[in-house]
Order: sequence, then structure tokens, then C-alpha cells
Amino acid sequence: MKGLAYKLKKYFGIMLYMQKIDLMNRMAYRINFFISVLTVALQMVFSLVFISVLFSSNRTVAGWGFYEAVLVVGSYMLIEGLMWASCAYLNALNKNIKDGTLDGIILRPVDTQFLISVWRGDMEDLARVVSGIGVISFALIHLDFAAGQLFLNLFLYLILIFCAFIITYSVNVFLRSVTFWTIQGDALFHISMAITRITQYPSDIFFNKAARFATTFVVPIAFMATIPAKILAHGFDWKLASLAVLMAAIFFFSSRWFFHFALKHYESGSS
Amino acid sequence: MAYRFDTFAMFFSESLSFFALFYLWSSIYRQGGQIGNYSFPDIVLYYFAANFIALVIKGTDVAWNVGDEIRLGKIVGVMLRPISYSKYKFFQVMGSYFFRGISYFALFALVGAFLFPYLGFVLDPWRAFFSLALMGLGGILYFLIFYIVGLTTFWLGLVRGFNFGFMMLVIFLEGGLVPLDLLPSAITKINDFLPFKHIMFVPISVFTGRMDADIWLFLVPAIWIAVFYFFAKFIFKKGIKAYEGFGI
Repeated sequence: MKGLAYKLKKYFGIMLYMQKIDLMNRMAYRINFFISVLTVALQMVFSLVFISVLFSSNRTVAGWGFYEAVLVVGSYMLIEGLMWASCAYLNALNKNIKDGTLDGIILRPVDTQFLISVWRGDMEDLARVVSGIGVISFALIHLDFAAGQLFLNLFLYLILIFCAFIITYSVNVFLRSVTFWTIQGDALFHISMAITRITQYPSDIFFNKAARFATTFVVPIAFMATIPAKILAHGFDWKLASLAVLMAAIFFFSSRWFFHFALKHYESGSS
Repeated sequence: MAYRFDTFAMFFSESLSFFALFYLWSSIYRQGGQIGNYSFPDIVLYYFAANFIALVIKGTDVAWNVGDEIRLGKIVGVMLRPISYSKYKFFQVMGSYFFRGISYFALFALVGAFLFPYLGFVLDPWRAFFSLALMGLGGILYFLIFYIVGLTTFWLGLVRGFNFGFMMLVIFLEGGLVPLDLLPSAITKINDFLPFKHIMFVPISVFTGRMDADIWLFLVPAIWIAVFYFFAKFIFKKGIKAYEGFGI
């Protein structure tokens, strides 16, 4: 137990240190940083305009009201922001493999998967987290809650957001690990973006059974924003909540196994 | 062929987006809703064509590419060649448009052969040819916009945020997110004075028969291309004077 606590503290310290260095790098290009922050706000506006168009003729879409759907968009922004603010370096995996610079990472006395995830975080994505919280608050104001109920829902929501973060991270690890075989991998970024973008729509839109199964268990899009938003809007559902925790655990450990399996196929390009 | 995995993966990612939008709009129309004057087949056809355009012209991140060459000093090596930098970049990008255009055209023709009868859409070869020509102009316009965004690296040092911001703006104003005639009228009125709709919305509208295949449709994007061409030249000239060759 003491060993685990020490390890956690060590890794947390490394992560903070990496983020600090990265922030210093970002500050070298201040204008770029602030434009990125503005862009995030712009993206939020476009998402809301899109949702408004969808609801222009219907009061509900796939059983979701407008403000409930806004909760899904807010949750998507929150997850995306957390993901890229902390683990943006995953995007550089294919470059590291192509250039052979992964050698330098593997040789360090720290877990390789940890390093290829947190070496760089896109700090401007924290603006997405803030906008996500803004969007969620906007939706909550328009949904009817008793104060006690809201606090309970929020507490459960945070647990599910943590699970959603783990699932999103794991899906990305799975995807990026493919680069060990293909070497090319720029387009994997687009697949990852496409998957994340889909999470901003309530997963109940996938009305046929095959699509619903695929978006729940194969690529668990449903757990990445819809289910946390559902719990926040409608209250606790122990079946959904326990399934979310289980899926997060399964995806985390299987993606970790897959990453290490893929790593064995790494042929250093620089040596 | 050297990049066949990336080509396939790009197609896969656009297909994923397309299927998600297909389900999203299905669930709206299944409830009996009607958005603007678009029926369900109209909206599916719109996104089908939008995906084709996106795959052909958006596979190359022009601004990032140009920005990287400036930031890392590689532009100096290119400038020593007996061709101007803008021409070099233009033909490089047009080559990739051409390669992707051919590859995806075959794939989309195959999918279209099954999809069009289901949507009740009858392909008019003249309209298809006309919209392909408009798409070509849109592609050049897209290249010039992001070439200029890339050139701002001369002053910004890093173009990432500016590039991403512009990408978001262009996707929205070209009609990549939602058909432009479904947006609030205030936005469409402003957008009429901007060049972005000629990248995607106009070629698609001609293809689907929502707009007449009028020869005058070439005029506006051609004027914008001329404007951006001279602006890019001006920016490059100013930028190269301010350039300190960092990264060399």
C-alpha cells in the first residue's frame, strides 16, 4: 500500500512537472495560445447553433429534449477538454514511431504508456473544460431540479465523467497503438476525432439494435457523454452506473494490454 | 499507394461521421419532423456530397504544412529551387487533391450507385460535371485561404491555434456542419458576402439540383481566388522580409 502511494505520488509529480514545462512552451507563443482559447469558445457556439437547428422542428430528438441534449454537448466538451489537456501527447505517438524518437521514451525509468500520454498536454483545452461547465450550467438552469436531487445527481455525474474519461483515453490508446504496425497514422487522429465528435449526439439516435450494440459495447460512445448526461438529467440508475464503471475497467486494462502487445512490434526507425 | 493506410483511415473516419449524421437525421425525420425545405433523402444526399468534398480537399493540412516549413526553416531550402514557393505548394497540394479525387471518386461512385436509387435521386451528368468544376474552384479557394493562414507563421511563430480556429469557422460557413439555408437568416446574409460557401455549399447545391447550373456561378469564386492570390503574394513578400530563418 505504501509502495502504491509512493508510486502514485511520483507519477502525479511527473505529470505536473510535464504540464508545467508544456505551459512554459505554450507561453513562448502567447498569441497562438490565446487564439486557441478563443477557438474553443467559437466551437461551443457552433455546437449550440447546430443543436438549435436540430430542434427547430421537433421538441425532442430520440427522446431527448433540447436542454437535455445541451447537457450531452456540455459533457462531450468536458471530456474532450480533460482528455487533450492531460494526454495530448498520444497524438504524437505516430511521429515518435516514424522518427524513431520513441527509443528515448522507452529507455526512461517510468512507465512508457504513462509517458507517451502525459508528456504534453494542450493547456488551451482547459478552456473547453470551462466552456463545457458553462454549457452544462446553462442547461441545468433550464431543467427542473430539487436542490438535494441536483447535488446527488452531480456527485454521480462526476463519477461517471471520470469513467467516461478513462473510456475515451482507452479508445485512443487502442487506436494509436495500431501505428506500431502501420507506421503511417496521421489519419488515426481523424478517426479518433470522428469518434469523439459522435459523442456529442445522444447515443439513443442509434435506433437499430446492431448500431446500438456497437456504440455501447464495441466503441462505447454511449458511455462517453450520453450516459453521464442521462444520469445528471434523470437521476441515479444503478444498472447504467455499474455498467459504466465496469466498461471503464475493461477498456482501461485491455487497452493497456494492447499497447504493450503493440510495443513489442516496435522496430526502432532511428537505430 | 505509399499512404494507402492513411487514405483508407480517412475514408473510414468520414464514413463514421456520415453514419452518425445519418442516424441523427433519421431520428428527427422518423418523428415526422421536417427541417427547412429538406426532406430526409435531401439531407442524406447533402452529407454524402459534403463528405466527398471534405475527403478530397481536406486531407492536406495546408496551413500546418506551410507553418511547419517556416517555423523549422525548411522554407529556405524550398526557396533555393527554381520555382516560387507558392507555386511549389500549389502544385503539391493540387497533386494530392487529384490523387484523392480519383481514389474517392471510384469509392463514392460505387456507394452512390446503391444509394441514389434508394434516395430517389437521378444523377444528371451535366450537373455532376458542373459541380465538379465548381468544386475544383472551391478547392483552390480552400488552398489559398489556408496558405495565407500558414503564412501568418512569419509573425505568430506557431500557427496551430489560428489554423484550428479558421478550420472551425470554414467548416461552419462552408456548410460542412449543416446546410447553410438551415442557419438563421442573419448568418446566411453575412455569409453571402464571404467566400466560404463556394467551397462546399454551392457545388453541392448544384449537384443536388437546388441551384441552377449557371455559368455565372464561376464568377464569384474566381474573383475571390484572384483577391486571395494577390493577398497571399503581398503577405509572403512582407513575411519573407520579416523572416529571421529561425530553426535553421
